[in-house]
Amino acid sequence: MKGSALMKRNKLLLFFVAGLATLYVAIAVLQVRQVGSLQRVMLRNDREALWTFLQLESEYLRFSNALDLRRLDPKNLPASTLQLRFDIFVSRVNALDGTGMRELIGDAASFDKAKTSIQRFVRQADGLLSASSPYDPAILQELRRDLDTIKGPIRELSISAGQTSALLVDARTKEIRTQLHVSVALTAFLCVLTLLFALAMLRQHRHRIAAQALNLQGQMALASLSARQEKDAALRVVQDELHEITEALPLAIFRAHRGNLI
Amino acid sequence: MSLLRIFRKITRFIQLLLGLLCLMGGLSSAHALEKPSDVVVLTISGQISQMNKGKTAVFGMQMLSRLPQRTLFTKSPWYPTGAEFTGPLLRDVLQAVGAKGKTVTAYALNDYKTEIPLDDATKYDVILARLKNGKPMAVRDKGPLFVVYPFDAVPELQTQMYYNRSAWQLTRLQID
Repeated sequence: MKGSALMKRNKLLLFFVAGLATLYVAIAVLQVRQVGSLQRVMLRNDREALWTFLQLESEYLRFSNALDLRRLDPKNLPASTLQLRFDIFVSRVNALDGTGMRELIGDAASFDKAKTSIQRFVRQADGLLSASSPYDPAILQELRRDLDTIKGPIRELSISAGQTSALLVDARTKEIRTQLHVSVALTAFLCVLTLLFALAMLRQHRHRIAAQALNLQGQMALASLSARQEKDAALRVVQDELHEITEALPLAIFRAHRGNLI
Repeated sequence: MSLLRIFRKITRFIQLLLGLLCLMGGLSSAHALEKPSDVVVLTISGQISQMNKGKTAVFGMQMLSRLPQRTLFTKSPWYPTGAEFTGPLLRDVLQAVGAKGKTVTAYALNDYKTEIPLDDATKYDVILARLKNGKPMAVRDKGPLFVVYPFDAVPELQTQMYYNRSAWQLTRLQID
């Protein structure tokens, strides 16, 4: 009966340990997924990409302004400065090939379409600026016309990048908030688990103390019994002695008395 | 001591003195900042002791190529698969102009500016890259100069703060 109860308790303990191990594995998996999820939202290169789109529009406007200045009066702006402004603008167009650019614009098709039209303009402008008289008013007028055709796509890219970037910030905030809740829940669960362990240890400690007290009580009772037995034995010896004395005394008195008489 | 011997000693002394003067002259000319013979690509102003154009020091590509060159291969947000950059160390350029101060403000062609602590130049092998994969960089390809940190060699540099300091299309440095 006692052996069966012990086996049942051992099985329960085994089940409890296996449950805990599974729980810890689940927590580890959750933590790994949490780190991965946070890394995915944190390591996105959208800030750089947004900066590139804004720079593209900014350099487009500066080149456009330089072109107008040159068209109005060639003395306003040296040809080399106009070429420099164009090259800086092209450097921003080239940056569209960088990582994360297409991803930032939600609609990949519109990104490709806008990029193609901008690159087409760059090729046309290169052709015009490498003509025999590149800064001829007629050529600059044609350049102005071509430049106007990409104003819309550049503006759309810039707005779209700004809006998508804002949505990404929202998504990032939401993800961080979710992960924060998961972390708080995990911490609370670990606190409860630690508390349960502490209570179990306290219970075990109390049992140990009670067992020690019982043991001490038993030892004291045993000592008391032993002392009583010793006392009884001594008392018995005294009683025996007394008995012997009381039995022998009248005879001794009689003998002494008879001796006196003789 | 014969008169001839005294004369020889004096001649020897004069020769030594002249040699010493020539050497000093040579050294001083090595320290003086020459004028660029080609197009100016970099202008340095502020707290500098060596100037070659008014209160500024200007450099052409040839002047920069005459300074000790350093080549490094590194990945960066602009070149995720990596690229080889060659150019003088920033500290050598700053030394050439006798820069004294705490910060270097780097200006790009599009008026972008970023502050670089002078300590960065001594602590890390930051280069003013003038070549990418052995070729000069056009303005369209982030040239003519690019501040490049050794991102691969020093992982602690792989942060947004140092990426921001890596100015490309560099045109001017202001020492404060």
